[in-house]
Amino acid sequence: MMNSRHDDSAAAASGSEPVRCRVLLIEDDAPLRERFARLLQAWPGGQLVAACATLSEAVRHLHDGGIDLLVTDLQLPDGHGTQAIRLLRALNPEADAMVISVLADDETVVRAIEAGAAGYLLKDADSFELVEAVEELRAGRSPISSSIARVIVRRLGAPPPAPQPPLGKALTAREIDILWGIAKGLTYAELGEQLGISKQTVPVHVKSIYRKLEANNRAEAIFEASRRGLLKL
Amino acid sequence: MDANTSFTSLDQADSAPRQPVWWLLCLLLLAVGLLPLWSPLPEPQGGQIVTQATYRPPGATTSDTVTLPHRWYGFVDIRGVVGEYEVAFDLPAAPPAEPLYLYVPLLSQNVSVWLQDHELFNTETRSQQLGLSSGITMMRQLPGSQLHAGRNVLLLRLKTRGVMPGYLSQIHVGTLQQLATPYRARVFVFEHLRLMALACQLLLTTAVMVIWLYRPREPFFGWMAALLGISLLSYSGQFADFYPPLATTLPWTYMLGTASSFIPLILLLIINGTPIPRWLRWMPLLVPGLPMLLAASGVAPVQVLAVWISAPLNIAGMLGALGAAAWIALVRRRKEAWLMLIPLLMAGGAVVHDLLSVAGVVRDPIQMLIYYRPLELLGLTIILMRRFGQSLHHLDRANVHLREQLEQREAELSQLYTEEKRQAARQVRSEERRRLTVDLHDGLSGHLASIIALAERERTASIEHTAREALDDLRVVIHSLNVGDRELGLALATYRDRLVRQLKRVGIALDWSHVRLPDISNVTPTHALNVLRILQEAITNARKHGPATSITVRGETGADGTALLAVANDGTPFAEADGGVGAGLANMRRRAAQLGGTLAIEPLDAGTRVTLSLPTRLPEPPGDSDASQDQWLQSSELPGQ
Repeated sequence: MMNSRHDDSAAAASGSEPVRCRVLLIEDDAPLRERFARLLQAWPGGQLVAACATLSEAVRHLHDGGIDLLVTDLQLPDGHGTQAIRLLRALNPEADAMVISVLADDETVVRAIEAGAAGYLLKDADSFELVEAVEELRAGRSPISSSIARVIVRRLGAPPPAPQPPLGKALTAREIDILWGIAKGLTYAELGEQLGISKQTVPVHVKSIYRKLEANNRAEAIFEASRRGLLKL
Repeated sequence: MDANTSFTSLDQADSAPRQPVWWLLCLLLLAVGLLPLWSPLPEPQGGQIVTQATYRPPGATTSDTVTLPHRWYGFVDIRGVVGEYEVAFDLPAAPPAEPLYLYVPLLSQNVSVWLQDHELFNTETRSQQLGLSSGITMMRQLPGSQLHAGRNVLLLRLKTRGVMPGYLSQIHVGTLQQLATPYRARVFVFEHLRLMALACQLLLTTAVMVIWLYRPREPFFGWMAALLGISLLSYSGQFADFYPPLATTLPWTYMLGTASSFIPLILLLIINGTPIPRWLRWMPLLVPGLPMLLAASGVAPVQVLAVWISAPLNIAGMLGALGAAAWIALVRRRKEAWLMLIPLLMAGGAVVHDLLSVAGVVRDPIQMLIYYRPLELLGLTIILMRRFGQSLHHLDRANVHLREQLEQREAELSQLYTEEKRQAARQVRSEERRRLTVDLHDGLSGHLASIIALAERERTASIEHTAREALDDLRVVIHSLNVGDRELGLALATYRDRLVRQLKRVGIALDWSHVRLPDISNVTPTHALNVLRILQEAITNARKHGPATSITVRGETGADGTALLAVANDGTPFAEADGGVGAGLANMRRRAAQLGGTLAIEPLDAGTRVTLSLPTRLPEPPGDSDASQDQWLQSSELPGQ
């Protein structure tokens, strides 16, 4: 699936049948919003649908449909970026979400990942970094930093709050090895060498880890909702 | 020790055997029990012995010559019957220098002594000799005025009653010196010892009764008190001496006394931990109740029932106890049971002796049971007291154990409390740190990012550059705040990720690997910041003064096990004369010293290498950690000035 999409974007880049990635941007800070809008408009692989300053504005666009990629800030004047991420993932499970962060406040980023985000971007990222991050994500690869790996590793041992299988059981042995390696500070190349895999495969595994985090979190959310009587199972 | 366990249960008593003491106790019992064998009573030294008498049985008119000692027997009237003995002794012509005494070592049950139609003495004035306390001794001065040279004849009117046989031992005539010692010895044994046994039993009864009142759920005490109390009934004959109505109820009190016959068996079962069968619990009521009912309904005379029903039942109870004691001692190999088996064996022997005595097979008329019943009680008392001692011993040990446990728990608790407090303080600090971090993210960092965006739009490169540097530096500070112990690798990786982007922007290649850096402990945010600042300074220098096109960062293990972090560039080799690096270098050295490490700067063929060597355990922060945090906040200054 990952590869086929990569092929799609490659096909798009080759220009035979331009299937451009439809992007929605949410950022409440005007200079930053304008800057990101500029960078995204310049990206040949995508098409900026809208640059929103509020959650409500973004929700309207999301309901209109057809969004492939959401790039969102977290703190918004009328809500939180994770709400938009959940809505996007519910409407279109194939779509990707990316968080814009000033710098990784790890817990916040991991919460966004649990909501369905698969990538994150620093607010001072230049055009090269942004394009690289977006294309990596569209190719099925997610970034991970040591501190985020550490936060997830800590969750592996912690007892789950609801009777769903603990995260440690949901992840494969390889994925757990990757998390530990990253948390120790290994580079993708070092890790790939150690595990006998290509350094390009590491971020593919990372995306899979993120998806499991999201699924686990959804199970927890459903359990929580049913416990409170909001949902009938 | 469990407070609910009965201290009379055997398992626990046997768990702390004190072998020598136990053997001593058994020997003591044996020695006391066999006293008559190894310590015979003294006999008169000299004087005359009369071995023949003329005997006229009760109610008869003719006399016979009999050999002394002599006994006669028949189921006799409770009021008593009298047999008469005429005994003769010869005196020399010369009047005796000292007064002469008549001494009868043993007789049953009473005698009045007549000389020439004068009654010299009647033992009945002292005691009626009712019940089991049969067999007395007698000594009396013969009045010199009524004695004469040649043959003197004494008339002894022997009176007996109840089931006891009439008995007269050989008769001695002699001086006080010759006769007094044997006489006194017999007075002690036949009178005083019996009363001493009674006194002991009374004391013991009181003691056990009190224990039972304070610990009623311990059945052993209840049964023991019952045994002791009921056994007192066998002394009622003696009390009849001064309370005559008791004399007529003697067969009844004997029947009542048999209530105790099965209690030793019950006590043994309790000692052994065996549940007492229901029927056995009723025996103390049935054994006396049945013959008493029969007697009251007039089926047979009281005395007949006492002899033919109560006595066998009494013996059955004793045999039961004997069997149980033997079983526990021999089969179950509980040494303690020997303390009961020995006196029970002796008491059994005494009963047999007494029966044979009553039946006339054995000549002497002394009822031995009155001596051996107390021995049985003595055995039980020893068991009881032994267990008391052991219980106290156990209690002491339990106390010591509990106290030790308590101290241990207290220590654990206080340690836990300290740890909890420390954890709570750490929690508070980390919470503060988190809040501060979030504030910096949302506030300052956001503003800086906006400035960068604006500067980029306005194309003011220097503002953009400065803003980026400010933001990067802020990130170094914030990230180091989040570094925990043994997480230096993580701090390095976070810095590396950022550095990769920075250097990419300016076209410098970065080759970074710290896989081989040893694990470093005692890492605090202050330490992490110091390490990052040194690296930052080294990289800045490489970029400014190099100018480098590639930078290599390596984490290694040094020859002496220290941790090495080396930053090498391919710029201009470092020269001491270069004054521009002076202030930065001093800062780096100061930070290295704070980390307990050293800093080395060396020129390469092409480029410069800065090597930071660190101990694998970083130094403790000076003083209180809170204070050091403050100090750290004050001392951390922005680089790049």
